[in-house]
Amino acid sequence: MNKLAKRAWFALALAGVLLLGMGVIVVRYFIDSPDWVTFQNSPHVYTDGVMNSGKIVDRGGTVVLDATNGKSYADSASLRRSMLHLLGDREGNITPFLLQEYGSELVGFDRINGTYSTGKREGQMALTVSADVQRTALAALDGRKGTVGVYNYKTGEILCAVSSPTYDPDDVPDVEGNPETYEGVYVNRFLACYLYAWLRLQARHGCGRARRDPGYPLPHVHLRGQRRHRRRDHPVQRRARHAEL
Amino acid sequence: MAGISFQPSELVKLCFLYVGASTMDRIVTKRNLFLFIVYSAAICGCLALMNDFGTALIFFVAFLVIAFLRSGSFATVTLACAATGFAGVLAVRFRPHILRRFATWGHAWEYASAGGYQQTRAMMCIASGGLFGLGAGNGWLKYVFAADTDLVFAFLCEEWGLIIGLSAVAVIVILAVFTVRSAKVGRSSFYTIAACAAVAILTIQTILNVFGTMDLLPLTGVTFPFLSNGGSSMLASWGLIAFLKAADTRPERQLRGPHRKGRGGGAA
Repeated sequence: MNKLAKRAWFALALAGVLLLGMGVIVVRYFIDSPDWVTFQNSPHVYTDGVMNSGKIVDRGGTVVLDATNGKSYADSASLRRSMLHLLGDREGNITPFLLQEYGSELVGFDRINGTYSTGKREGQMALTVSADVQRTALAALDGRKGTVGVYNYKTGEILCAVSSPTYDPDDVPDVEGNPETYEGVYVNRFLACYLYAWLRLQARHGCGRARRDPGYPLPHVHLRGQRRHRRRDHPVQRRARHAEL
Repeated sequence: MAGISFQPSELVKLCFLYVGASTMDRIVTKRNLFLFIVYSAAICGCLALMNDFGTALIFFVAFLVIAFLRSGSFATVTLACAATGFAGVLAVRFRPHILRRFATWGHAWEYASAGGYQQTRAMMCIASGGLFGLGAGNGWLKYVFAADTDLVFAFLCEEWGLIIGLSAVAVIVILAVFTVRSAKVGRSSFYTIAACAAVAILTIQTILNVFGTMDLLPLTGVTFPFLSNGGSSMLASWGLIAFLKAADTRPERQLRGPHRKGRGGGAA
Protein backbone atom coordinates (compact mmCIF):
# COMPACT_ATOMS: atom_id res chain seq x y z
CA MET A 1 0.00 0.00 0.00
CA ASN A 2 2.91 2.33 0.68
CA LYS A 3 4.04 1.97 -2.90
CA LEU A 4 0.54 2.78 -4.05
CA ALA A 5 0.37 5.78 -1.72
CA LYS A 6 3.53 7.19 -3.27
CA ARG A 7 2.18 6.72 -6.77
CA ALA A 8 -1.03 8.49 -5.77
CA TRP A 9 0.89 11.77 -6.03
CA PHE A 10 0.55 11.33 -9.77
CA ALA A 11 -3.13 12.19 -9.39
CA LEU A 12 -2.16 15.30 -7.46
CA ALA A 13 -0.07 16.55 -10.39
CA LEU A 14 -3.32 17.33 -12.20
CA ALA A 15 -4.45 19.41 -9.25
CA GLY A 16 -1.13 21.26 -9.53
CA VAL A 17 -1.86 22.02 -13.17
CA LEU A 18 -5.29 23.28 -12.15
CA LEU A 19 -3.81 25.56 -9.49
CA LEU A 20 -1.20 26.87 -11.90
CA GLY A 21 -3.86 27.66 -14.47
CA MET A 22 -6.01 29.41 -11.90
CA GLY A 23 -3.02 31.58 -11.03
CA VAL A 24 -2.71 32.53 -14.68
CA ILE A 25 -6.43 33.33 -14.81
CA VAL A 26 -6.23 35.58 -11.75
CA VAL A 27 -3.24 37.45 -13.17
CA ARG A 28 -4.98 37.87 -16.50
CA TYR A 29 -8.08 39.11 -14.72
CA PHE A 30 -6.18 41.84 -12.91
CA ILE A 31 -4.29 42.87 -16.05
CA ASP A 32 -6.88 42.54 -18.81
CA SER A 33 -10.29 42.94 -17.14
CA PRO A 34 -10.58 46.68 -18.05
CA ASP A 35 -10.31 45.64 -21.70
CA TRP A 36 -12.70 42.72 -21.29
CA VAL A 37 -15.38 44.83 -19.64
CA THR A 38 -15.47 47.45 -22.40
CA PHE A 39 -15.86 44.84 -25.11
CA GLN A 40 -18.16 46.35 -27.71
CA ASN A 41 -20.99 43.86 -27.17
CA SER A 42 -21.13 44.12 -23.39
CA PRO A 43 -24.71 44.75 -22.22
CA HIS A 44 -23.33 45.88 -18.86
CA VAL A 45 -21.60 48.83 -20.50
CA TYR A 46 -23.41 49.55 -23.76
CA THR A 47 -27.04 50.17 -24.59
CA ASP A 48 -27.84 49.87 -28.29
CA GLY A 49 -24.14 50.04 -29.04
CA VAL A 50 -23.63 53.24 -27.06
CA MET A 51 -21.71 53.41 -23.79
CA ASN A 52 -24.34 53.97 -21.14
CA SER A 53 -22.57 55.76 -18.33
CA GLY A 54 -19.89 58.32 -17.57
CA LYS A 55 -19.05 61.90 -18.45
CA ILE A 56 -16.08 63.48 -20.16
CA VAL A 57 -15.20 67.10 -19.42
CA ASP A 58 -12.43 69.32 -20.74
CA ARG A 59 -9.73 70.82 -18.53
CA GLY A 60 -12.03 73.67 -17.63
CA GLY A 61 -14.99 71.46 -16.67
CA THR A 62 -17.05 71.88 -19.86
CA VAL A 63 -18.98 68.69 -20.59
CA VAL A 64 -17.97 67.37 -24.01
CA LEU A 65 -19.73 64.01 -23.73
CA ASP A 66 -22.39 62.71 -21.37
CA ALA A 67 -23.00 59.00 -21.82
CA THR A 68 -25.16 58.58 -18.73
CA ASN A 69 -28.41 58.17 -20.66
CA GLY A 70 -27.33 57.56 -24.20
CA LYS A 71 -24.64 59.53 -25.97
CA SER A 72 -25.04 63.31 -25.58
CA TYR A 73 -22.42 65.59 -27.05
CA ALA A 74 -21.71 69.19 -26.04
CA ASP A 75 -24.32 71.88 -26.61
CA SER A 76 -22.08 73.91 -28.89
CA ALA A 77 -21.98 72.77 -32.54
CA SER A 78 -18.45 74.09 -33.04
CA LEU A 79 -17.24 72.15 -30.00
CA ARG A 80 -18.94 69.00 -31.24
CA ARG A 81 -17.15 69.38 -34.56
CA SER A 82 -13.77 70.02 -32.97
CA MET A 83 -14.07 66.99 -30.66
CA LEU A 84 -15.47 64.55 -33.22
CA HIS A 85 -12.24 62.60 -33.79
CA LEU A 86 -11.66 62.14 -30.08
CA LEU A 87 -15.20 61.15 -29.13
CA GLY A 88 -16.37 59.36 -32.28
CA ASP A 89 -19.74 59.61 -33.98
CA ARG A 90 -23.02 57.83 -33.36
CA GLU A 91 -22.83 55.63 -36.43
CA GLY A 92 -19.46 54.11 -35.60
CA ASN A 93 -17.73 55.53 -38.68
CA ILE A 94 -15.14 57.26 -36.50
CA THR A 95 -13.50 55.27 -33.75
CA PRO A 96 -14.23 56.81 -30.33
CA PHE A 97 -10.60 56.90 -29.31
CA LEU A 98 -11.20 58.27 -25.82
CA LEU A 99 -13.95 55.78 -25.06
CA GLN A 100 -11.78 52.92 -26.17
CA GLU A 101 -8.79 54.09 -24.16
CA TYR A 102 -10.55 55.11 -20.97
CA GLY A 103 -13.92 53.35 -21.31
CA SER A 104 -13.48 51.13 -18.26
CA GLU A 105 -13.01 54.20 -16.04
CA LEU A 106 -15.94 55.99 -17.58
CA VAL A 107 -18.33 53.21 -16.69
CA GLY A 108 -17.05 53.18 -13.12
CA PHE A 109 -15.36 49.79 -13.49
CA ASP A 110 -12.90 48.62 -10.92
CA ARG A 111 -11.35 45.23 -10.43
CA ILE A 112 -12.92 44.68 -7.01
CA ASN A 113 -16.56 45.52 -7.76
CA GLY A 114 -16.66 45.00 -11.52
CA THR A 115 -19.50 47.00 -13.02
CA TYR A 116 -21.69 46.57 -9.97
CA SER A 117 -23.11 49.99 -9.33
CA THR A 118 -25.74 51.61 -7.20
CA GLY A 119 -26.22 54.29 -9.82
CA LYS A 120 -23.84 56.66 -8.11
CA ARG A 121 -20.52 55.51 -9.37
CA GLU A 122 -20.47 56.64 -12.98
CA GLY A 123 -17.02 57.84 -13.74
CA GLN A 124 -16.25 61.39 -14.78
CA MET A 125 -13.07 61.95 -16.64
CA ALA A 126 -11.35 65.31 -17.03
CA LEU A 127 -9.33 65.74 -20.20
CA THR A 128 -6.20 67.78 -20.59
CA VAL A 129 -7.54 69.35 -23.79
CA SER A 130 -9.23 72.70 -23.72
CA ALA A 131 -12.58 73.13 -25.43
CA ASP A 132 -11.80 76.76 -26.26
CA VAL A 133 -8.46 75.91 -27.85
CA GLN A 134 -10.07 73.10 -29.81
CA ARG A 135 -12.66 75.50 -31.23
CA THR A 136 -10.08 78.17 -31.97
CA ALA A 137 -7.80 75.71 -33.75
CA LEU A 138 -10.64 74.37 -35.86
CA ALA A 139 -11.64 77.90 -36.80
CA ALA A 140 -8.02 78.64 -37.74
CA LEU A 141 -7.92 75.62 -40.04
CA ASP A 142 -10.81 77.27 -41.85
CA GLY A 143 -11.90 74.21 -43.79
CA ARG A 144 -8.39 73.14 -44.77
CA LYS A 145 -7.51 69.47 -44.41
CA GLY A 146 -4.99 68.87 -41.67
CA THR A 147 -4.48 68.74 -37.95
CA VAL A 148 -3.47 70.97 -35.07
CA GLY A 149 -1.75 69.43 -32.08
CA VAL A 150 -0.57 71.35 -29.03
CA TYR A 151 1.04 69.71 -26.03
CA ASN A 152 3.08 70.59 -23.01
CA TYR A 153 6.45 69.08 -23.82
CA LYS A 154 7.40 68.91 -20.14
CA THR A 155 4.40 66.95 -18.94
CA GLY A 156 3.11 65.37 -22.13
CA GLU A 157 -0.36 66.85 -21.62
CA ILE A 158 -2.23 67.43 -24.86
CA LEU A 159 -3.93 70.80 -24.98
CA CYS A 160 -5.36 70.53 -28.48
CA ALA A 161 -5.87 67.66 -30.94
CA VAL A 162 -8.07 68.76 -33.81
CA SER A 163 -8.48 66.96 -37.11
CA SER A 164 -10.06 68.44 -40.23
CA PRO A 165 -12.27 67.92 -42.19
CA THR A 166 -14.87 67.18 -39.59
CA TYR A 167 -18.62 67.43 -39.08
CA ASP A 168 -21.24 67.80 -36.38
CA PRO A 169 -22.22 64.34 -35.05
CA ASP A 170 -25.66 65.69 -34.15
CA ASP A 171 -26.19 67.04 -37.67
CA VAL A 172 -24.48 64.58 -39.98
CA PRO A 173 -23.97 65.99 -43.50
CA ASP A 174 -24.05 64.08 -46.78
CA VAL A 175 -20.49 62.83 -46.68
CA GLU A 176 -20.87 60.52 -49.68
CA GLY A 177 -22.41 63.30 -51.76
CA ASN A 178 -19.51 65.70 -51.09
CA PRO A 179 -16.39 63.61 -51.54
CA GLU A 180 -14.06 66.58 -52.02
CA THR A 181 -15.20 68.47 -48.95
CA TYR A 182 -15.15 65.43 -46.69
CA GLU A 183 -12.17 63.59 -48.14
CA GLY A 184 -10.63 61.51 -45.33
CA VAL A 185 -13.17 62.77 -42.79
CA TYR A 186 -13.17 59.44 -40.98
CA VAL A 187 -9.42 59.60 -40.41
CA ASN A 188 -8.07 61.06 -37.18
CA ARG A 189 -5.21 63.04 -38.73
CA PHE A 190 -3.73 63.91 -35.38
CA LEU A 191 -3.27 60.25 -34.49
CA ALA A 192 -2.15 59.44 -38.02
CA CYS A 193 0.56 62.13 -37.88
CA TYR A 194 1.70 60.97 -34.47
CA LEU A 195 1.88 57.35 -35.55
CA TYR A 196 3.67 58.30 -38.76
CA ALA A 197 6.31 60.21 -36.82
CA TRP A 198 6.61 57.32 -34.39
CA LEU A 199 7.16 54.79 -37.14
CA ARG A 200 9.70 57.05 -38.83
CA LEU A 201 11.66 57.28 -35.60
CA GLN A 202 11.53 53.55 -35.06
CA ALA A 203 12.67 52.89 -38.60
CA ARG A 204 15.55 55.32 -38.23
CA HIS A 205 16.76 54.36 -34.77
CA GLY A 206 15.65 50.79 -34.33
CA CYS A 207 12.45 49.36 -32.94
CA GLY A 208 11.75 50.40 -29.34
CA ARG A 209 14.69 52.77 -28.96
CA ALA A 210 12.71 55.94 -29.50
CA ARG A 211 10.46 54.98 -26.61
CA ARG A 212 13.33 54.57 -24.18
CA ASP A 213 15.53 57.47 -25.12
CA PRO A 214 14.15 60.77 -23.79
CA GLY A 215 16.44 62.65 -26.18
CA TYR A 216 14.21 61.86 -29.13
CA PRO A 217 11.68 64.52 -29.94
CA LEU A 218 8.57 62.26 -29.89
CA PRO A 219 7.08 62.58 -26.40
CA HIS A 220 4.78 60.48 -24.32
CA VAL A 221 1.52 62.33 -24.51
CA HIS A 222 -1.77 61.83 -22.77
CA LEU A 223 -5.26 63.19 -22.82
CA ARG A 224 -6.53 62.23 -19.43
CA GLY A 225 -6.54 64.46 -16.40
CA GLN A 226 -7.76 63.39 -13.00
CA ARG A 227 -10.59 60.94 -12.62
CA ARG A 228 -13.49 61.88 -10.40
CA HIS A 229 -16.47 60.06 -8.99
CA ARG A 230 -19.68 61.94 -8.58
CA ARG A 231 -20.53 60.70 -5.12
CA ARG A 232 -17.28 61.91 -3.63
CA ASP A 233 -16.89 65.45 -2.46
CA HIS A 234 -13.28 65.66 -3.44
CA PRO A 235 -11.61 64.47 -6.59
CA VAL A 236 -9.85 61.21 -6.14
CA GLN A 237 -6.16 61.69 -6.53
CA ARG A 238 -4.91 58.99 -8.78
CA ARG A 239 -1.58 58.25 -10.19
CA ALA A 240 -1.47 59.64 -13.71
CA ARG A 241 -0.81 56.88 -16.16
CA HIS A 242 0.48 58.00 -19.50
CA ALA A 243 -1.49 56.59 -22.35
CA GLU A 244 0.64 56.04 -25.37
CA LEU A 245 -1.11 57.15 -28.49
CA MET B 1 -37.85 11.05 -24.15
CA ALA B 2 -39.81 14.25 -24.25
CA GLY B 3 -38.49 16.66 -21.64
CA ILE B 4 -35.87 14.24 -20.37
CA SER B 5 -32.40 13.75 -21.77
CA PHE B 6 -29.74 11.34 -20.67
CA GLN B 7 -26.01 11.40 -21.24
CA PRO B 8 -24.76 7.79 -21.15
CA SER B 9 -21.08 8.76 -21.17
CA GLU B 10 -21.46 10.28 -17.72
CA LEU B 11 -22.47 6.99 -16.14
CA VAL B 12 -19.92 5.09 -18.21
CA LYS B 13 -17.30 7.00 -16.19
CA LEU B 14 -18.37 5.09 -13.08
CA CYS B 15 -18.35 1.76 -14.92
CA PHE B 16 -14.95 2.58 -16.35
CA LEU B 17 -13.51 3.22 -12.90
CA TYR B 18 -15.04 0.05 -11.53
CA VAL B 19 -13.74 -2.08 -14.38
CA GLY B 20 -10.35 -0.36 -14.46
CA ALA B 21 -9.69 -0.55 -10.73
CA SER B 22 -10.89 -4.14 -10.35
CA THR B 23 -8.94 -5.30 -13.38
CA MET B 24 -5.79 -3.71 -12.09
CA ASP B 25 -6.25 -5.00 -8.58
CA ARG B 26 -4.55 -8.16 -7.32
CA ILE B 27 -6.13 -10.25 -10.02
CA VAL B 28 -4.09 -8.53 -12.72
CA THR B 29 -3.15 -10.87 -15.52
CA LYS B 30 -2.24 -10.31 -19.12
CA ARG B 31 -5.73 -11.30 -20.14
CA ASN B 32 -7.34 -8.80 -17.79
CA LEU B 33 -4.99 -6.07 -18.90
CA PHE B 34 -5.75 -6.77 -22.53
CA LEU B 35 -9.48 -6.69 -21.87
CA PHE B 36 -9.19 -3.37 -20.05
CA ILE B 37 -7.23 -1.82 -22.91
CA VAL B 38 -9.84 -3.07 -25.38
CA TYR B 39 -12.61 -1.69 -23.16
CA SER B 40 -10.89 1.71 -22.94
CA ALA B 41 -10.25 1.82 -26.67
CA ALA B 42 -13.89 0.94 -27.37
CA ILE B 43 -15.13 3.78 -25.15
CA CYS B 44 -12.75 6.34 -26.68
CA GLY B 45 -13.63 5.08 -30.17
CA CYS B 46 -17.36 5.52 -29.53
CA LEU B 47 -16.76 9.03 -28.16
CA ALA B 48 -14.63 9.89 -31.18
CA LEU B 49 -17.46 8.75 -33.46
CA MET B 50 -19.77 11.01 -31.45
CA ASN B 51 -17.27 13.89 -31.87
CA ASP B 52 -17.02 14.12 -28.08
CA PHE B 53 -13.27 14.40 -27.86
CA GLY B 54 -13.40 16.28 -24.54
CA THR B 55 -14.97 13.29 -22.79
CA ALA B 56 -12.56 10.96 -24.61
CA LEU B 57 -9.71 12.96 -23.07
CA ILE B 58 -11.25 12.50 -19.61
CA PHE B 59 -11.32 8.73 -20.06
CA PHE B 60 -7.76 8.79 -21.32
CA VAL B 61 -6.53 10.63 -18.25
CA ALA B 62 -8.36 8.17 -16.00
CA PHE B 63 -6.75 5.34 -17.93
CA LEU B 64 -3.31 6.89 -17.43
CA VAL B 65 -3.83 7.28 -13.69
CA ILE B 66 -5.02 3.69 -13.32
CA ALA B 67 -2.14 2.36 -15.43
CA PHE B 68 0.46 4.35 -13.50
CA LEU B 69 -0.88 3.43 -10.09
CA ARG B 70 -0.67 -0.22 -10.93
CA SER B 71 2.59 -0.25 -12.87
CA GLY B 72 4.47 2.72 -11.41
CA SER B 73 6.16 3.05 -14.75
CA PHE B 74 6.51 6.43 -16.38
CA ALA B 75 7.58 4.60 -19.55
CA THR B 76 4.13 3.02 -19.77
CA VAL B 77 2.49 6.41 -19.37
CA THR B 78 4.78 7.98 -21.96
CA LEU B 79 4.07 5.19 -24.39
CA ALA B 80 0.32 5.60 -23.90
CA CYS B 81 0.63 9.37 -24.42
CA ALA B 82 2.62 8.85 -27.61
CA ALA B 83 0.05 6.41 -28.94
CA THR B 84 -2.75 8.84 -28.11
CA GLY B 85 -0.85 11.68 -29.76
CA PHE B 86 -0.68 9.58 -32.90
CA ALA B 87 -4.41 8.88 -32.65
CA GLY B 88 -4.96 12.62 -32.18
CA VAL B 89 -3.13 13.37 -35.42
CA LEU B 90 -5.31 10.84 -37.19
CA ALA B 91 -8.43 12.38 -35.62
CA VAL B 92 -7.45 15.83 -36.86
CA ARG B 93 -6.79 14.35 -40.29
CA PHE B 94 -10.26 12.83 -40.54
CA ARG B 95 -12.18 15.43 -38.51
CA PRO B 96 -11.00 18.83 -39.72
CA HIS B 97 -13.48 20.69 -37.50
CA ILE B 98 -11.24 19.87 -34.52
CA LEU B 99 -8.46 21.83 -36.17
CA ARG B 100 -10.76 24.84 -36.50
CA ARG B 101 -11.21 24.81 -32.71
CA PHE B 102 -7.46 24.87 -32.31
CA ALA B 103 -7.25 27.79 -34.74
CA THR B 104 -9.44 29.86 -32.43
CA TRP B 105 -7.64 28.68 -29.29
CA GLY B 106 -5.66 31.51 -27.72
CA HIS B 107 -7.12 34.02 -30.18
CA ALA B 108 -10.69 34.26 -28.92
CA TRP B 109 -10.74 38.06 -29.10
CA GLU B 110 -9.71 37.99 -32.75
CA TYR B 111 -12.65 35.70 -33.53
CA ALA B 112 -15.10 37.35 -31.13
CA SER B 113 -18.05 36.93 -33.51
CA ALA B 114 -17.16 33.44 -34.69
CA GLY B 115 -15.22 30.70 -32.91
CA GLY B 116 -14.44 32.84 -29.89
CA TYR B 117 -18.01 34.01 -29.32
CA GLN B 118 -18.63 32.08 -26.09
CA GLN B 119 -15.18 32.64 -24.58
CA THR B 120 -15.18 36.41 -25.18
CA ARG B 121 -18.64 36.81 -23.66
CA ALA B 122 -17.57 34.67 -20.74
CA MET B 123 -14.49 36.80 -20.02
CA MET B 124 -16.48 39.99 -20.46
CA CYS B 125 -19.03 38.78 -17.90
CA ILE B 126 -16.35 37.64 -15.45
CA ALA B 127 -14.84 41.14 -15.56
CA SER B 128 -18.28 42.71 -15.11
CA GLY B 129 -18.88 40.61 -12.02
CA GLY B 130 -15.68 41.69 -10.30
CA LEU B 131 -14.63 39.86 -7.15
CA PHE B 132 -18.09 39.88 -5.55
CA GLY B 133 -20.48 39.49 -8.49
CA LEU B 134 -23.51 41.33 -9.77
CA GLY B 135 -25.95 39.34 -7.68
CA ALA B 136 -28.04 36.25 -8.33
CA GLY B 137 -30.11 36.58 -11.49
CA ASN B 138 -28.46 39.85 -12.51
CA GLY B 139 -26.08 38.28 -14.98
CA TRP B 140 -26.28 38.43 -18.74
CA LEU B 141 -24.31 35.34 -19.68
CA LYS B 142 -27.41 33.19 -19.20
CA TYR B 143 -28.51 34.33 -22.68
CA VAL B 144 -25.43 32.76 -24.26
CA PHE B 145 -25.64 29.16 -25.44
CA ALA B 146 -24.40 26.57 -22.90
CA ALA B 147 -23.94 29.21 -20.19
CA ASP B 148 -25.15 26.82 -17.48
CA THR B 149 -23.02 23.91 -18.65
CA ASP B 150 -19.86 24.60 -20.64
CA LEU B 151 -19.50 28.22 -19.43
CA VAL B 152 -20.77 27.68 -15.92
CA PHE B 153 -17.55 28.98 -14.34
CA ALA B 154 -18.09 32.37 -15.99
CA PHE B 155 -21.80 32.22 -15.12
CA LEU B 156 -20.88 31.70 -11.47
CA CYS B 157 -18.23 34.45 -11.50
CA GLU B 158 -20.55 36.99 -13.11
CA GLU B 159 -23.36 36.58 -10.60
CA TRP B 160 -21.43 35.53 -7.48
CA GLY B 161 -17.98 36.92 -8.12
CA LEU B 162 -14.54 35.64 -8.93
CA ILE B 163 -13.86 34.71 -5.32
CA ILE B 164 -16.74 32.21 -5.29
CA GLY B 165 -15.59 30.91 -8.69
CA LEU B 166 -12.09 30.33 -7.37
CA SER B 167 -13.53 28.70 -4.26
CA ALA B 168 -15.46 26.24 -6.41
CA VAL B 169 -12.22 25.26 -8.11
CA ALA B 170 -10.45 25.08 -4.74
CA VAL B 171 -12.99 22.47 -3.60
CA ILE B 172 -11.83 20.15 -6.38
CA VAL B 173 -8.18 20.71 -5.42
CA ILE B 174 -9.00 19.95 -1.78
CA LEU B 175 -10.72 16.73 -2.84
CA ALA B 176 -7.56 15.74 -4.69
CA VAL B 177 -5.40 16.41 -1.62
CA PHE B 178 -7.87 14.50 0.56
CA THR B 179 -7.71 11.49 -1.76
CA VAL B 180 -3.93 11.38 -1.94
CA ARG B 181 -3.62 11.71 1.83
CA SER B 182 -6.10 8.89 2.41
CA ALA B 183 -4.31 6.59 -0.07
CA LYS B 184 -2.05 5.29 2.74
CA VAL B 185 -4.94 3.87 4.67
CA GLY B 186 -7.02 2.63 1.77
CA ARG B 187 -9.09 -0.48 2.41
CA SER B 188 -7.45 -2.20 -0.54
CA SER B 189 -5.61 -1.25 -3.72
CA PHE B 190 -8.93 -1.46 -5.57
CA TYR B 191 -10.37 1.40 -3.52
CA THR B 192 -7.21 3.47 -3.72
CA ILE B 193 -6.86 3.11 -7.48
CA ALA B 194 -10.55 3.87 -8.00
CA ALA B 195 -10.41 6.94 -5.74
CA CYS B 196 -7.32 8.36 -7.46
CA ALA B 197 -8.84 7.79 -10.90
CA ALA B 198 -12.10 9.37 -9.73
CA VAL B 199 -10.38 12.48 -8.46
CA ALA B 200 -8.35 12.63 -11.67
CA ILE B 201 -11.63 12.65 -13.61
CA LEU B 202 -13.03 15.44 -11.44
CA THR B 203 -9.85 17.47 -11.84
CA ILE B 204 -9.47 17.05 -15.59
CA GLN B 205 -13.14 17.95 -16.06
CA THR B 206 -12.60 21.14 -14.07
CA ILE B 207 -9.43 21.94 -16.03
CA LEU B 208 -11.15 21.47 -19.39
CA ASN B 209 -14.22 23.44 -18.33
CA VAL B 210 -12.51 26.43 -16.68
CA PHE B 211 -9.51 26.69 -18.99
CA GLY B 212 -11.76 26.27 -22.03
CA THR B 213 -13.96 29.10 -20.80
CA MET B 214 -10.93 31.35 -20.28
CA ASP B 215 -9.36 30.41 -23.62
CA LEU B 216 -6.36 28.75 -21.98
CA LEU B 217 -7.46 25.54 -23.70
CA PRO B 218 -9.85 24.89 -26.59
CA LEU B 219 -13.49 24.89 -25.50
CA THR B 220 -14.45 21.21 -25.39
CA GLY B 221 -17.93 21.28 -23.90
CA VAL B 222 -17.10 19.41 -20.70
CA THR B 223 -19.14 19.92 -17.55
CA PHE B 224 -17.88 21.36 -14.26
CA PRO B 225 -18.53 18.72 -11.54
CA PHE B 226 -21.49 19.59 -9.29
CA LEU B 227 -22.00 23.01 -10.92
CA SER B 228 -23.02 22.40 -14.49
CA ASN B 229 -26.68 21.89 -15.23
CA GLY B 230 -27.59 18.28 -16.06
CA GLY B 231 -28.84 15.34 -14.04
CA SER B 232 -26.53 12.76 -15.62
CA SER B 233 -23.49 14.87 -14.82
CA MET B 234 -24.67 15.40 -11.27
CA LEU B 235 -25.28 11.68 -10.75
CA ALA B 236 -21.86 10.84 -12.12
CA SER B 237 -20.20 13.45 -9.89
CA TRP B 238 -21.82 12.03 -6.78
CA GLY B 239 -20.82 8.56 -7.93
CA LEU B 240 -17.21 9.68 -8.21
CA ILE B 241 -17.37 11.18 -4.72
CA ALA B 242 -18.60 7.82 -3.45
CA PHE B 243 -15.37 6.25 -4.72
CA LEU B 244 -13.36 8.88 -2.81
CA LYS B 245 -15.22 8.33 0.42
CA ALA B 246 -15.13 4.55 0.12
CA ALA B 247 -11.34 4.61 -0.05
CA ASP B 248 -10.99 6.50 3.21
CA THR B 249 -11.05 4.17 6.20
CA ARG B 250 -9.76 6.60 8.79
CA PRO B 251 -11.88 7.05 11.87
CA GLU B 252 -13.00 10.58 12.62
CA ARG B 253 -10.42 11.19 15.33
CA GLN B 254 -7.60 10.42 12.89
CA LEU B 255 -8.81 13.07 10.50
CA ARG B 256 -8.35 15.66 13.22
CA GLY B 257 -4.60 15.07 13.21
CA PRO B 258 -2.04 13.13 15.27
CA HIS B 259 -2.69 12.40 18.95
CA ARG B 260 -0.69 14.18 21.57
CA LYS B 261 0.76 11.77 24.09
CA GLY B 262 0.36 12.54 27.73
CA ARG B 263 -2.64 14.73 27.24
CA GLY B 264 -5.70 13.93 29.36
CA GLY B 265 -3.88 11.75 31.90
CA GLY B 266 -4.07 8.30 30.29
CA ALA B 267 -6.91 5.87 29.63
CA ALA B 268 -10.30 6.60 31.05
